[in-house]
Amino acid sequence: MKDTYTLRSGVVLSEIFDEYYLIAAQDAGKYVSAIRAVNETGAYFWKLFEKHLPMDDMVRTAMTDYDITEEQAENAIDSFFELLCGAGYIITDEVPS
Amino acid sequence: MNLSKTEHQLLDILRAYLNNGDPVSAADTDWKQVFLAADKQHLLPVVYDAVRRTGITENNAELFRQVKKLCIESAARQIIMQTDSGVLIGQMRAAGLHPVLVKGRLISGLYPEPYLRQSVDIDLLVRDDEFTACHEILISAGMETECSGEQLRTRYEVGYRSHDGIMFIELHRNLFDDEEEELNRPFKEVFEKDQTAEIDGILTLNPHMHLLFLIFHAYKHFIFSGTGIRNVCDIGLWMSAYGSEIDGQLLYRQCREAHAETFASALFRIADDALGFSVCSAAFRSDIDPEPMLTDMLEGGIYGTSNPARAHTSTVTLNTVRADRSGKRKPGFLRSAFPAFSYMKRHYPYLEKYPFLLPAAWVQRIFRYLKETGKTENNRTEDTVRIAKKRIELLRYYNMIDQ
Repeated sequence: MKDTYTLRSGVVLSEIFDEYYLIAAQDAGKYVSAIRAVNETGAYFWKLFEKHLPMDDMVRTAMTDYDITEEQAENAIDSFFELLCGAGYIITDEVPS
Repeated sequence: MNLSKTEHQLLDILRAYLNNGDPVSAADTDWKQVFLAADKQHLLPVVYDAVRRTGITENNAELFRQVKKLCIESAARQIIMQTDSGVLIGQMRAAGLHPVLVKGRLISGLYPEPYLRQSVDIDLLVRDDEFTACHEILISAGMETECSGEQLRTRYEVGYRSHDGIMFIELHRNLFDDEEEELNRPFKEVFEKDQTAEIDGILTLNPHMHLLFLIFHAYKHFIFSGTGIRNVCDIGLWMSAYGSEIDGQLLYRQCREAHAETFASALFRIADDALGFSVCSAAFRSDIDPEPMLTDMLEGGIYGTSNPARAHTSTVTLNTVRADRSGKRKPGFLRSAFPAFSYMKRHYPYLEKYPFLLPAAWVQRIFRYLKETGKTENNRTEDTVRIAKKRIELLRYYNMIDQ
Protein backbone atom coordinates (compact mmCIF):
# COMPACT_ATOMS: atom_id res chain seq x y z
CA MET A 1 0.00 0.00 0.00
CA LYS A 2 1.30 3.44 -0.95
CA ASP A 3 1.40 6.29 1.53
CA THR A 4 -0.07 8.85 -0.86
CA TYR A 5 -3.29 8.05 -2.58
CA THR A 6 -6.59 9.62 -3.54
CA LEU A 7 -10.00 8.04 -3.39
CA ARG A 8 -11.89 8.44 -6.64
CA SER A 9 -13.86 11.68 -6.31
CA GLY A 10 -17.62 11.17 -6.38
CA VAL A 11 -17.62 7.59 -5.09
CA VAL A 12 -20.07 7.23 -2.22
CA LEU A 13 -20.12 4.30 0.21
CA SER A 14 -23.79 3.54 0.91
CA GLU A 15 -25.66 0.99 2.95
CA ILE A 16 -28.73 -0.35 1.18
CA PHE A 17 -30.82 -3.11 2.75
CA ASP A 18 -28.01 -3.90 5.23
CA GLU A 19 -25.48 -4.37 2.42
CA TYR A 20 -22.69 -2.04 1.33
CA TYR A 21 -22.16 -0.56 -2.11
CA LEU A 22 -19.70 1.84 -3.70
CA ILE A 23 -21.79 4.12 -5.87
CA ALA A 24 -20.28 6.30 -8.55
CA ALA A 25 -21.70 9.83 -8.47
CA GLN A 26 -20.50 12.92 -10.36
CA ASP A 27 -17.88 11.95 -12.96
CA ALA A 28 -16.75 8.80 -11.17
CA GLY A 29 -18.97 6.71 -13.43
CA LYS A 30 -16.53 7.32 -16.29
CA TYR A 31 -13.85 5.36 -14.45
CA VAL A 32 -15.56 2.81 -12.19
CA SER A 33 -18.74 0.75 -12.12
CA ALA A 34 -21.91 2.66 -11.35
CA ILE A 35 -22.50 0.37 -8.41
CA ARG A 36 -20.26 -2.24 -6.81
CA ALA A 37 -21.02 -4.37 -3.78
CA VAL A 38 -18.45 -4.61 -1.00
CA ASN A 39 -18.65 -6.73 2.11
CA GLU A 40 -18.76 -5.36 5.63
CA THR A 41 -14.98 -5.57 6.04
CA GLY A 42 -14.48 -3.78 2.74
CA ALA A 43 -16.80 -1.02 3.87
CA TYR A 44 -14.84 -0.78 7.11
CA PHE A 45 -11.55 -0.38 5.25
CA TRP A 46 -13.04 2.13 2.81
CA LYS A 47 -14.00 4.30 5.78
CA LEU A 48 -10.41 4.04 7.03
CA PHE A 49 -9.09 5.05 3.61
CA GLU A 50 -11.47 8.02 3.64
CA LYS A 51 -9.80 9.21 6.84
CA HIS A 52 -6.36 8.99 5.20
CA LEU A 53 -4.84 7.55 8.32
CA PRO A 54 -1.18 6.52 8.16
CA MET A 55 -0.77 2.79 7.50
CA ASP A 56 0.42 2.13 11.05
CA ASP A 57 -2.68 3.73 12.52
CA MET A 58 -4.96 1.80 10.17
CA VAL A 59 -3.32 -1.46 11.13
CA ARG A 60 -3.63 -0.72 14.84
CA THR A 61 -7.27 0.28 14.47
CA ALA A 62 -8.10 -2.85 12.50
CA MET A 63 -6.23 -5.06 15.02
CA THR A 64 -8.35 -3.64 17.83
CA ASP A 65 -11.70 -3.65 16.04
CA TYR A 66 -11.34 -7.14 14.53
CA ASP A 67 -9.12 -8.75 17.18
CA ILE A 68 -6.55 -9.87 14.61
CA THR A 69 -2.76 -9.91 14.45
CA GLU A 70 -0.68 -7.14 12.94
CA GLU A 71 0.23 -9.34 10.00
CA GLN A 72 -3.38 -10.27 9.33
CA ALA A 73 -4.40 -6.60 9.45
CA GLU A 74 -1.59 -5.53 7.11
CA ASN A 75 -2.39 -8.27 4.64
CA ALA A 76 -6.11 -7.49 4.65
CA ILE A 77 -5.58 -3.76 4.17
CA ASP A 78 -2.94 -4.29 1.45
CA SER A 79 -5.09 -6.78 -0.36
CA PHE A 80 -8.20 -4.56 -0.38
CA PHE A 81 -6.10 -1.51 -1.30
CA GLU A 82 -4.68 -3.30 -4.34
CA LEU A 83 -8.13 -4.49 -5.32
CA LEU A 84 -9.48 -0.95 -5.23
CA CYS A 85 -6.47 0.39 -7.14
CA GLY A 86 -7.00 -2.19 -9.86
CA ALA A 87 -10.67 -1.31 -10.13
CA GLY A 88 -10.01 2.42 -10.31
CA TYR A 89 -11.42 3.41 -6.93
CA ILE A 90 -8.03 4.47 -5.57
CA ILE A 91 -5.56 6.57 -7.51
CA THR A 92 -1.92 6.38 -6.50
CA ASP A 93 -0.46 8.53 -9.28
CA GLU A 94 0.56 12.02 -8.28
CA VAL A 95 -1.85 13.48 -10.80
CA PRO A 96 -5.25 11.80 -10.55
CA SER A 97 -6.64 10.70 -13.90
CA MET B 1 -63.47 0.93 2.73
CA ASN B 2 -64.31 -0.69 -0.57
CA LEU B 3 -60.75 -1.52 -1.59
CA SER B 4 -59.26 -4.71 -2.94
CA LYS B 5 -57.35 -7.04 -0.67
CA THR B 6 -54.07 -6.05 -2.32
CA GLU B 7 -54.83 -2.35 -1.85
CA HIS B 8 -55.62 -2.91 1.83
CA GLN B 9 -52.37 -4.81 2.25
CA LEU B 10 -50.39 -2.06 0.53
CA LEU B 11 -51.86 0.55 2.84
CA ASP B 12 -51.27 -1.65 5.91
CA ILE B 13 -47.60 -2.02 4.95
CA LEU B 14 -47.17 1.71 4.38
CA ARG B 15 -48.98 2.60 7.60
CA ALA B 16 -46.70 0.36 9.65
CA TYR B 17 -43.53 1.45 7.88
CA LEU B 18 -44.14 5.20 8.01
CA ASN B 19 -45.17 5.16 11.65
CA ASN B 20 -42.55 2.78 13.02
CA GLY B 21 -45.21 0.15 13.56
CA ASP B 22 -44.81 -3.60 13.72
CA PRO B 23 -44.13 -5.38 10.42
CA VAL B 24 -47.24 -6.61 8.67
CA SER B 25 -48.38 -10.20 8.85
CA ALA B 26 -47.10 -12.24 5.95
CA ALA B 27 -49.95 -14.72 5.87
CA ASP B 28 -52.17 -14.96 2.84
CA THR B 29 -50.45 -12.26 0.80
CA ASP B 30 -49.95 -12.28 -2.94
CA TRP B 31 -46.60 -10.50 -2.89
CA LYS B 32 -46.38 -10.13 -6.64
CA GLN B 33 -49.63 -8.17 -6.65
CA VAL B 34 -48.54 -6.08 -3.68
CA PHE B 35 -45.25 -5.23 -5.38
CA LEU B 36 -47.03 -4.35 -8.62
CA ALA B 37 -49.42 -2.09 -6.72
CA ALA B 38 -46.47 -0.47 -4.92
CA ASP B 39 -44.59 0.07 -8.17
CA LYS B 40 -47.62 1.78 -9.67
CA GLN B 41 -47.30 4.31 -6.84
CA HIS B 42 -43.48 4.61 -7.17
CA LEU B 43 -43.22 3.05 -3.72
CA LEU B 44 -41.65 -0.30 -4.56
CA PRO B 45 -38.34 0.25 -2.65
CA VAL B 46 -40.24 1.55 0.38
CA VAL B 47 -42.56 -1.46 0.42
CA TYR B 48 -39.72 -3.89 -0.18
CA ASP B 49 -37.83 -2.40 2.77
CA ALA B 50 -40.93 -2.71 4.92
CA VAL B 51 -41.42 -6.40 4.25
CA ARG B 52 -37.93 -7.79 3.72
CA ARG B 53 -37.27 -8.36 7.41
CA THR B 54 -40.42 -10.36 8.04
CA GLY B 55 -39.00 -13.70 6.97
CA ILE B 56 -41.45 -14.08 4.13
CA THR B 57 -38.67 -14.06 1.57
CA GLU B 58 -38.04 -17.75 2.18
CA ASN B 59 -41.15 -18.83 0.32
CA ASN B 60 -40.83 -16.23 -2.42
CA ALA B 61 -37.08 -16.22 -2.93
CA GLU B 62 -36.97 -15.58 -6.69
CA LEU B 63 -39.58 -12.81 -6.61
CA PHE B 64 -37.86 -11.07 -3.71
CA ARG B 65 -34.47 -11.42 -5.37
CA GLN B 66 -35.74 -9.72 -8.52
CA VAL B 67 -37.48 -6.96 -6.58
CA LYS B 68 -34.42 -6.39 -4.41
CA LYS B 69 -32.25 -5.94 -7.51
CA LEU B 70 -34.64 -3.34 -8.92
CA CYS B 71 -34.76 -1.55 -5.59
CA ILE B 72 -30.98 -1.42 -5.21
CA GLU B 73 -30.69 0.08 -8.70
CA SER B 74 -33.35 2.63 -7.82
CA ALA B 75 -31.61 3.48 -4.53
CA ALA B 76 -28.26 3.91 -6.29
CA ARG B 77 -29.88 6.29 -8.76
CA GLN B 78 -31.34 8.34 -5.91
CA ILE B 79 -27.96 8.49 -4.18
CA ILE B 80 -26.30 9.68 -7.38
CA MET B 81 -29.00 12.30 -7.93
CA GLN B 82 -28.74 13.52 -4.34
CA THR B 83 -24.95 13.73 -4.49
CA ASP B 84 -24.77 15.38 -7.90
CA SER B 85 -27.58 17.84 -7.25
CA GLY B 86 -25.97 18.72 -3.91
CA VAL B 87 -22.79 19.69 -5.74
CA LEU B 88 -24.69 21.78 -8.30
CA ILE B 89 -26.82 23.53 -5.70
CA GLY B 90 -23.63 24.20 -3.72
CA GLN B 91 -22.08 25.82 -6.80
CA MET B 92 -25.15 28.02 -7.24
CA ARG B 93 -25.10 29.10 -3.60
CA ALA B 94 -21.36 29.77 -3.77
CA ALA B 95 -22.07 32.05 -6.73
CA GLY B 96 -24.48 34.04 -4.57
CA LEU B 97 -27.63 32.55 -6.13
CA HIS B 98 -30.74 31.43 -4.25
CA PRO B 99 -32.15 28.22 -5.75
CA VAL B 100 -35.03 26.94 -3.63
CA LEU B 101 -35.29 23.15 -3.47
CA VAL B 102 -38.82 21.74 -3.38
CA LYS B 103 -40.57 18.36 -3.41
CA GLY B 104 -38.88 15.01 -3.75
CA ARG B 105 -35.29 15.41 -2.70
CA LEU B 106 -36.29 17.51 0.29
CA ILE B 107 -39.07 15.17 1.41
CA SER B 108 -37.00 12.04 0.98
CA GLY B 109 -35.12 12.99 4.16
CA LEU B 110 -38.30 12.35 6.13
CA TYR B 111 -38.61 8.73 5.01
CA PRO B 112 -37.04 6.01 7.19
CA GLU B 113 -34.47 5.42 4.43
CA PRO B 114 -34.24 8.59 2.30
CA TYR B 115 -32.75 6.97 -0.81
CA LEU B 116 -35.71 4.58 -1.06
CA ARG B 117 -38.12 7.41 -1.87
CA GLN B 118 -38.00 7.53 -5.65
CA SER B 119 -37.68 10.91 -7.34
CA VAL B 120 -37.64 11.39 -11.07
CA ASP B 121 -36.08 14.84 -10.94
CA ILE B 122 -34.75 17.65 -8.80
CA ASP B 123 -36.95 20.74 -8.70
CA LEU B 124 -35.48 24.18 -8.08
CA LEU B 125 -37.45 27.41 -7.88
CA VAL B 126 -35.20 30.25 -8.97
CA ARG B 127 -35.54 34.01 -9.08
CA ASP B 128 -36.16 35.33 -12.57
CA ASP B 129 -33.09 37.56 -12.40
CA GLU B 130 -30.96 34.55 -11.38
CA PHE B 131 -32.33 32.14 -13.96
CA THR B 132 -29.59 32.69 -16.54
CA ALA B 133 -26.80 32.29 -13.98
CA CYS B 134 -28.32 29.01 -12.71
CA HIS B 135 -28.72 27.86 -16.31
CA GLU B 136 -25.07 28.55 -17.04
CA ILE B 137 -23.91 26.60 -14.01
CA LEU B 138 -25.91 23.58 -15.15
CA ILE B 139 -24.62 23.84 -18.71
CA SER B 140 -21.03 24.23 -17.44
CA ALA B 141 -21.51 21.03 -15.46
CA GLY B 142 -22.39 19.19 -18.66
CA MET B 143 -26.16 19.19 -18.30
CA GLU B 144 -28.15 19.50 -21.52
CA THR B 145 -31.45 21.17 -22.28
CA GLU B 146 -33.71 21.12 -25.30
CA CYS B 147 -34.69 24.73 -24.67
CA SER B 148 -32.88 27.66 -26.18
CA GLY B 149 -33.27 31.35 -26.97
CA GLU B 150 -36.73 32.68 -26.33
CA GLN B 151 -37.79 29.54 -24.47
CA LEU B 152 -35.05 30.07 -21.88
CA ARG B 153 -36.25 33.61 -21.29
CA THR B 154 -39.95 32.90 -21.04
CA ARG B 155 -40.74 29.32 -20.01
CA TYR B 156 -41.99 28.78 -16.48
CA GLU B 157 -39.84 25.65 -16.24
CA VAL B 158 -36.81 24.38 -18.12
CA GLY B 159 -35.52 20.81 -17.86
CA TYR B 160 -31.87 19.69 -17.91
CA ARG B 161 -30.60 16.14 -18.33
CA SER B 162 -27.15 14.74 -17.63
CA HIS B 163 -25.26 12.95 -20.42
CA ASP B 164 -25.78 9.56 -18.78
CA GLY B 165 -29.49 10.24 -18.35
CA ILE B 166 -29.43 9.61 -14.61
CA MET B 167 -29.99 13.14 -13.44
CA PHE B 168 -32.83 15.44 -14.44
CA ILE B 169 -33.12 18.94 -12.98
CA GLU B 170 -35.92 21.40 -13.55
CA LEU B 171 -35.44 25.12 -13.01
CA HIS B 172 -38.76 26.81 -12.26
CA ARG B 173 -39.52 30.50 -12.61
CA ASN B 174 -42.94 29.69 -11.20
CA LEU B 175 -44.03 26.55 -9.43
CA PHE B 176 -46.96 26.06 -11.78
CA ASP B 177 -47.83 26.70 -15.39
CA ASP B 178 -48.53 30.35 -16.20
CA GLU B 179 -52.17 29.46 -16.88
CA GLU B 180 -52.62 28.08 -13.36
CA GLU B 181 -52.74 31.53 -11.85
CA GLU B 182 -54.70 30.57 -8.75
CA LEU B 183 -52.02 28.02 -7.82
CA ASN B 184 -49.13 30.39 -8.52
CA ARG B 185 -50.65 33.36 -6.66
CA PRO B 186 -49.53 32.52 -3.08
CA PHE B 187 -45.98 31.90 -4.30
CA LYS B 188 -45.60 35.08 -6.37
CA GLU B 189 -43.53 36.86 -3.73
CA VAL B 190 -41.71 33.97 -2.13
CA PHE B 191 -38.38 35.74 -2.40
CA GLU B 192 -39.62 39.24 -1.63
CA LYS B 193 -41.59 38.16 1.45
CA ASP B 194 -38.82 35.88 2.64
CA GLN B 195 -41.02 32.77 2.65
CA THR B 196 -37.95 30.59 2.36
CA ALA B 197 -36.09 28.70 5.06
CA GLU B 198 -32.92 26.70 5.54
CA ILE B 199 -33.74 23.08 6.35
CA ASP B 200 -30.78 20.78 6.92
CA GLY B 201 -28.56 23.35 5.24
CA ILE B 202 -30.74 23.51 2.14
CA LEU B 203 -32.66 26.58 1.03
CA THR B 204 -36.32 25.73 0.57
CA LEU B 205 -39.78 27.16 1.14
CA ASN B 206 -40.68 27.60 4.78
CA PRO B 207 -42.64 24.63 6.18
CA HIS B 208 -46.04 26.28 5.76
CA MET B 209 -45.47 27.34 2.18
CA HIS B 210 -43.92 24.02 1.27
CA LEU B 211 -46.95 22.18 2.59
CA LEU B 212 -49.18 24.49 0.57
CA PHE B 213 -47.06 23.69 -2.47
CA LEU B 214 -47.32 19.93 -1.85
CA ILE B 215 -51.11 20.22 -1.62
CA PHE B 216 -51.32 22.34 -4.79
CA HIS B 217 -48.97 19.98 -6.60
CA ALA B 218 -51.17 17.01 -5.71
CA TYR B 219 -54.23 19.09 -6.65
CA LYS B 220 -52.78 19.93 -10.06
CA HIS B 221 -52.08 16.30 -10.84
CA PHE B 222 -55.46 15.23 -9.51
CA ILE B 223 -57.08 17.54 -12.06
CA PHE B 224 -54.85 16.25 -14.86
CA SER B 225 -55.05 12.47 -14.59
CA GLY B 226 -54.70 11.69 -10.93
CA THR B 227 -52.42 11.87 -7.96
CA GLY B 228 -50.97 8.86 -6.19
CA ILE B 229 -50.78 7.64 -2.62
CA ARG B 230 -47.12 8.66 -2.41
CA ASN B 231 -48.18 12.30 -2.43
CA VAL B 232 -50.26 11.57 0.66
CA CYS B 233 -47.24 9.87 2.27
CA ASP B 234 -45.19 13.01 1.53
CA ILE B 235 -47.81 15.34 3.00
CA GLY B 236 -48.29 13.13 6.06
CA LEU B 237 -44.57 13.01 6.76
CA TRP B 238 -44.21 16.75 6.19
CA MET B 239 -47.08 17.55 8.56
CA SER B 240 -45.67 15.14 11.14
CA ALA B 241 -42.29 16.86 11.00
CA TYR B 242 -43.37 20.49 10.74
CA GLY B 243 -46.98 20.54 11.98
CA SER B 244 -46.20 23.09 14.67
CA GLU B 245 -45.04 25.55 12.01
CA ILE B 246 -48.20 25.27 9.92
CA ASP B 247 -50.91 27.92 10.25
CA GLY B 248 -54.05 25.81 9.75
CA GLN B 249 -56.42 28.76 9.36
CA LEU B 250 -54.19 30.45 6.80
CA LEU B 251 -53.67 27.18 4.97
CA TYR B 252 -57.41 26.66 4.72
CA ARG B 253 -57.94 30.17 3.34
CA GLN B 254 -55.14 29.72 0.81
CA CYS B 255 -56.60 26.39 -0.30
CA ARG B 256 -60.10 27.85 -0.53
CA GLU B 257 -58.90 30.64 -2.81
CA ALA B 258 -57.68 27.94 -5.20
CA HIS B 259 -60.84 25.77 -4.85
CA ALA B 260 -58.67 23.20 -3.05
CA GLU B 261 -60.04 23.24 0.50
CA THR B 262 -62.27 20.17 0.11
CA PHE B 263 -59.56 18.36 -1.81
CA ALA B 264 -57.05 19.12 0.97
CA SER B 265 -59.56 18.02 3.62
CA ALA B 266 -59.88 14.67 1.86
CA LEU B 267 -56.09 14.36 1.53
CA PHE B 268 -55.68 14.86 5.27
CA ARG B 269 -58.40 12.32 5.99
CA ILE B 270 -56.62 9.76 3.81
CA ALA B 271 -53.33 10.51 5.54
CA ASP B 272 -54.95 9.88 8.92
CA ASP B 273 -57.41 7.09 8.18
CA ALA B 274 -55.46 5.05 5.64
CA LEU B 275 -51.85 5.80 6.55
CA GLY B 276 -52.02 6.30 10.30
CA PHE B 277 -50.83 9.91 10.52
CA SER B 278 -52.43 12.52 12.76
CA VAL B 279 -52.48 15.52 10.51
CA CYS B 280 -56.14 16.53 10.29
CA SER B 281 -56.44 20.18 11.18
CA ALA B 282 -59.48 21.60 12.92
CA ALA B 283 -59.51 24.29 10.26
CA PHE B 284 -60.32 21.74 7.57
CA ARG B 285 -63.54 19.89 6.93
CA SER B 286 -64.04 16.62 8.76
CA ASP B 287 -67.28 15.63 7.00
CA ILE B 288 -65.59 14.67 3.73
CA ASP B 289 -65.75 11.12 2.45
CA PRO B 290 -62.18 10.45 1.25
CA GLU B 291 -62.91 7.01 -0.16
CA PRO B 292 -63.66 8.03 -3.79
CA MET B 293 -60.38 9.94 -3.86
CA LEU B 294 -58.43 7.10 -2.28
CA THR B 295 -59.91 4.63 -4.77
CA ASP B 296 -58.95 6.94 -7.64
CA MET B 297 -55.41 7.27 -6.26
CA LEU B 298 -54.91 3.54 -5.95
CA GLU B 299 -56.40 2.89 -9.37
CA GLY B 300 -54.53 5.62 -11.23
CA GLY B 301 -51.07 5.30 -9.73
CA ILE B 302 -48.51 7.98 -9.01
CA TYR B 303 -49.74 10.59 -11.51
CA GLY B 304 -52.83 8.85 -12.79
CA THR B 305 -50.94 7.43 -15.71
CA SER B 306 -51.50 3.75 -14.97
CA ASN B 307 -52.89 3.28 -18.47
CA PRO B 308 -52.94 5.44 -21.63
CA ALA B 309 -56.72 5.74 -21.70
CA ARG B 310 -56.66 7.35 -18.30
CA ALA B 311 -53.65 9.53 -19.07
CA HIS B 312 -55.51 10.96 -22.07
CA THR B 313 -58.36 12.21 -19.87
CA SER B 314 -56.19 15.12 -18.74
CA THR B 315 -57.21 17.49 -21.51
CA VAL B 316 -60.89 16.86 -20.74
CA THR B 317 -60.56 17.44 -17.00
CA LEU B 318 -58.19 20.38 -17.41
CA ASN B 319 -60.46 22.10 -19.91
CA THR B 320 -63.44 21.50 -17.63
CA VAL B 321 -61.70 23.17 -14.70
CA ARG B 322 -60.53 26.11 -16.81
CA ALA B 323 -64.01 26.62 -18.22
CA ASP B 324 -65.40 26.47 -14.70
CA ARG B 325 -63.00 29.15 -13.50
CA SER B 326 -63.70 31.44 -16.41
CA GLY B 327 -67.44 30.91 -16.20
CA LYS B 328 -67.59 29.55 -19.72
CA ARG B 329 -69.70 26.65 -20.91
CA LYS B 330 -68.36 23.21 -20.10
CA PRO B 331 -66.14 22.19 -23.00
CA GLY B 332 -67.10 19.28 -25.18
CA PHE B 333 -64.82 16.54 -26.41
CA LEU B 334 -64.16 18.61 -29.54
CA ARG B 335 -62.14 20.98 -27.36
CA SER B 336 -60.24 18.01 -25.96
CA ALA B 337 -59.42 16.76 -29.42
CA PHE B 338 -58.20 20.20 -30.48
CA PRO B 339 -56.62 21.81 -27.42
CA ALA B 340 -55.65 25.47 -27.28
CA PHE B 341 -52.34 26.68 -28.66
CA SER B 342 -51.01 27.33 -25.15
CA TYR B 343 -51.48 23.65 -24.28
CA MET B 344 -50.19 22.36 -27.59
CA LYS B 345 -46.94 24.33 -27.59
CA ARG B 346 -45.88 22.69 -24.33
CA HIS B 347 -46.22 19.26 -25.85
CA TYR B 348 -45.09 20.13 -29.37
CA PRO B 349 -42.19 22.57 -28.85
CA TYR B 350 -41.79 23.23 -32.57
CA LEU B 351 -45.00 25.28 -32.36
CA GLU B 352 -43.17 28.00 -30.48
CA LYS B 353 -41.12 28.66 -33.60
CA TYR B 354 -43.73 27.67 -36.16
CA PRO B 355 -47.19 28.48 -34.70
CA PHE B 356 -48.83 28.07 -38.11
CA LEU B 357 -48.20 24.32 -37.78
CA LEU B 358 -50.90 24.04 -35.11
CA PRO B 359 -53.26 22.03 -37.36
CA ALA B 360 -50.43 19.60 -38.16
CA ALA B 361 -49.72 19.22 -34.44
CA TRP B 362 -53.40 18.44 -33.81
CA VAL B 363 -53.28 15.71 -36.44
CA GLN B 364 -50.02 14.37 -35.01
CA ARG B 365 -51.56 14.31 -31.54
CA ILE B 366 -54.65 12.45 -32.72
CA PHE B 367 -52.55 9.83 -34.54
CA ARG B 368 -50.36 9.38 -31.48
CA TYR B 369 -53.44 8.96 -29.33
CA LEU B 370 -54.93 6.36 -31.67
CA LYS B 371 -51.62 4.50 -31.77
CA GLU B 372 -51.27 4.45 -27.99
CA THR B 373 -54.85 3.62 -27.13
CA GLY B 374 -55.18 1.00 -29.82
CA LYS B 375 -52.68 -1.35 -28.19
CA THR B 376 -54.86 -3.11 -25.66
CA GLU B 377 -58.55 -3.66 -25.19
CA ASN B 378 -58.44 -1.84 -21.86
CA ASN B 379 -57.51 1.51 -23.28
CA ARG B 380 -59.94 2.03 -26.07
CA THR B 381 -61.32 5.46 -26.85
CA GLU B 382 -64.55 4.75 -25.03
CA ASP B 383 -62.52 3.97 -21.94
CA THR B 384 -61.01 7.44 -22.08
CA VAL B 385 -64.48 8.97 -22.31
CA ARG B 386 -65.81 6.81 -19.49
CA ILE B 387 -62.87 7.57 -17.19
CA ALA B 388 -62.98 11.27 -18.02
CA LYS B 389 -66.67 11.48 -17.10
CA LYS B 390 -66.03 9.62 -13.88
CA ARG B 391 -63.14 11.90 -12.99
CA ILE B 392 -65.14 15.05 -13.72
CA GLU B 393 -67.75 13.76 -11.28
CA LEU B 394 -64.95 13.33 -8.77
CA LEU B 395 -63.78 16.92 -9.30
CA ARG B 396 -67.34 18.07 -8.70
CA TYR B 397 -67.68 15.87 -5.62
CA TYR B 398 -64.63 17.51 -4.05
CA ASN B 399 -65.82 21.01 -5.01
CA MET B 400 -62.99 21.57 -7.44
CA ILE B 401 -65.55 22.66 -10.03
CA ASP B 402 -68.99 24.17 -9.52
CA GLN B 403 -70.74 23.41 -12.82
